[in-house]
Amino acid sequence: MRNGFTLLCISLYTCANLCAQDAKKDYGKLSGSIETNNQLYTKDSVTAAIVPQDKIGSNSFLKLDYTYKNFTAGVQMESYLPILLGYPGNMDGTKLINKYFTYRTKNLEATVGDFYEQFGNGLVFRSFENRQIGINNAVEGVNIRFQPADFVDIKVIYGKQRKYFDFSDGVLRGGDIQLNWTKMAKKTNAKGNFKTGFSIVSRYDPYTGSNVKITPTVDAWSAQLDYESENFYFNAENVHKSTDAHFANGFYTTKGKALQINTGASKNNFGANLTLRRLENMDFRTDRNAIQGEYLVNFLPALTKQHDYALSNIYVYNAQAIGEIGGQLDLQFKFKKGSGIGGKYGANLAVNYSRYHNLDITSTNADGFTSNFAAFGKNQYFGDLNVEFKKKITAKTTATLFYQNLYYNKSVVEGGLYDTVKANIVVADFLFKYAPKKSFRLELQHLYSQQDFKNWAGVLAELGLAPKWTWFIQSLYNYGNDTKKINYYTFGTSYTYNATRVMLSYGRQRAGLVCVGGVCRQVPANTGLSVTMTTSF
Amino acid sequence: MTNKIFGTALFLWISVTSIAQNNLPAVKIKNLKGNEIPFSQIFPNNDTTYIVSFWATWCGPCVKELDAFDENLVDWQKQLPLQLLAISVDDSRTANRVKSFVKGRGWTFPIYQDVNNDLKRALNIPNVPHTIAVKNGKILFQTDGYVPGNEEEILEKIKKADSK
Repeated sequence: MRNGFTLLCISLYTCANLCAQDAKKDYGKLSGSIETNNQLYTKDSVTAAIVPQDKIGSNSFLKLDYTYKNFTAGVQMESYLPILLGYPGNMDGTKLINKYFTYRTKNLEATVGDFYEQFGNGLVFRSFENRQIGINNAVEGVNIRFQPADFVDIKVIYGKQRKYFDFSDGVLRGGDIQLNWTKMAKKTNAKGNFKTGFSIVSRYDPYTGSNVKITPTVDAWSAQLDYESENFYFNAENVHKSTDAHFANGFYTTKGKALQINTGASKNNFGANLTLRRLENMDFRTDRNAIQGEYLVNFLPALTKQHDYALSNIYVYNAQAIGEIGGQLDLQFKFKKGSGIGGKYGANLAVNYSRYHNLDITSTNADGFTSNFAAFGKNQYFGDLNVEFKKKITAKTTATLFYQNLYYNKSVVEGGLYDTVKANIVVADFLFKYAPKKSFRLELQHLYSQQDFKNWAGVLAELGLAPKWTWFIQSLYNYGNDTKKINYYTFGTSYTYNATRVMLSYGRQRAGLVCVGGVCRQVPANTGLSVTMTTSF
Repeated sequence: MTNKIFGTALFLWISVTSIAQNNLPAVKIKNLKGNEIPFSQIFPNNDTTYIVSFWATWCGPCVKELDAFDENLVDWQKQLPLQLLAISVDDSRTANRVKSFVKGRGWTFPIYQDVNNDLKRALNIPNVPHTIAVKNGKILFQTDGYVPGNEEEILEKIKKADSK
């Protein structure tokens, strides 16, 4: 391992020096990034924070890409020494895990090695990396993207999928074709593009056991319809999946279905978007014994607004692959300068509503369930109505007011038996830019609830000295908690120099879920010093 | 062993940062009409500096940065040839909201989408917001994160690069 890495470094370094010796000759380009997240854990009797044996966690990533003319080759090395708390525990040590080689021309892109790809909305296939949640389901094999004419896009994939530091026994193979009918008709002045698409993904996971429910091959296919113009768009994706008894779906054999419709209209200063989605038995894995975020073939994100205020991130929805129906409406308005509401500098208003229910199930048996297609079940899983109003009040001051009404079916989202949480959240966020490069931000938050941990109050103060420094202190005080009132405080700083950023913070992290794409990571309560560095070159 | 690996990595990093060239990748991104365009071809004018901001609808500092650019853009364009481009890295969870978001905020600069983050990966961008300045097919500089007032610094750097 070490010899391999040293050899790689020497070859890249030699190459880099060759480039430097004669800048006029094209010796290609070396680029990359480094990310390291480290935490020193300390004991905390208040939060009952866990201190791991080593008292330290460290997740680091080194990515290097070398491009020469039409060729790019790259590697990614990952290091978990040991892994940070709450991440999947199977990764330990250092490994050069992702390697790829790509040849790219105007109409062809071929990759051999580890690749990321997506068909349609990702309902049948998406391989991606999310370091925050510890997912990297890159496929190791072959990926071809081909454009035989300007109105046809073809993608092909074949390979095994990554789980932590391993790859699946099962094989994925698939294809996707997109036809642009507007381009085919050579309507170059058309206002928009009308497209249709078809994707198919097939998984083969060998099976020699005696369970007749289990099928080695599982297929999923999707048809897509899409119209996009500057001011109006509509797209629909309809998915079918063959019978797929596996651990994560409770060995149900009923077929999978999904439908997603998305439409929107906009004019300058106004935008509206509506998304509707129905999922039924859509959990899809390369390995039938996979759990949590392992070997995910498709991507089923919660279609709700992704908030950035801390108290709005306590109760976050997670899509229910086994069955859910619902949607999201999103409205955006801009009030121009000089208008009544806009005032001297203008203002923005955003309204967002999302709601998800169970399917309207008509019968249940050991093989699965049947349900009415277009009906909502009676069990509400999640609801979020939120309004955000932002206005620049004076030349130096901007204020944002935020209100959220939340319905969170904790038993469904987190599993177990809990009271459903109904909460109201208010936030006032003020930014004072008191000098061209100096600013102070004050965020006041409150969460009202009679359930779960009950009331929270939050305050964040942040000093920004552009372009290099920020200093912050945050307190999220769970004063409504019946058993223990806990102040989750954090303070820290970040320093940025061009594309390099270093962050240092100390504080308490509450236990909670971090969710991405239908997969959640349970982070245990922890307290300690955190140091993060990212850079790219 | 680990220290050695990271020591070597750091040495390598310091060595290459000084010589890395700035060719733009031809990775394809989508415009708001759904057409795919190689990243290297979204800069039509020579001698114009392009501010390319990588952002997402869920990223508060990104939206603050783009609002700040939007507010200053007309003034800046009176001072030097400048264009603002924004590339959303929203994935399938929020990608559908991008168009209505942009129109609703009254942003009129060109927007592109990098839904499965192919371009973000190719440029080795660690987080959003992340801004790069491009002129004549070369990356002049890049900055990570946004602190209010960064826009002033970015303008100063562009002016400095222009005067060279």
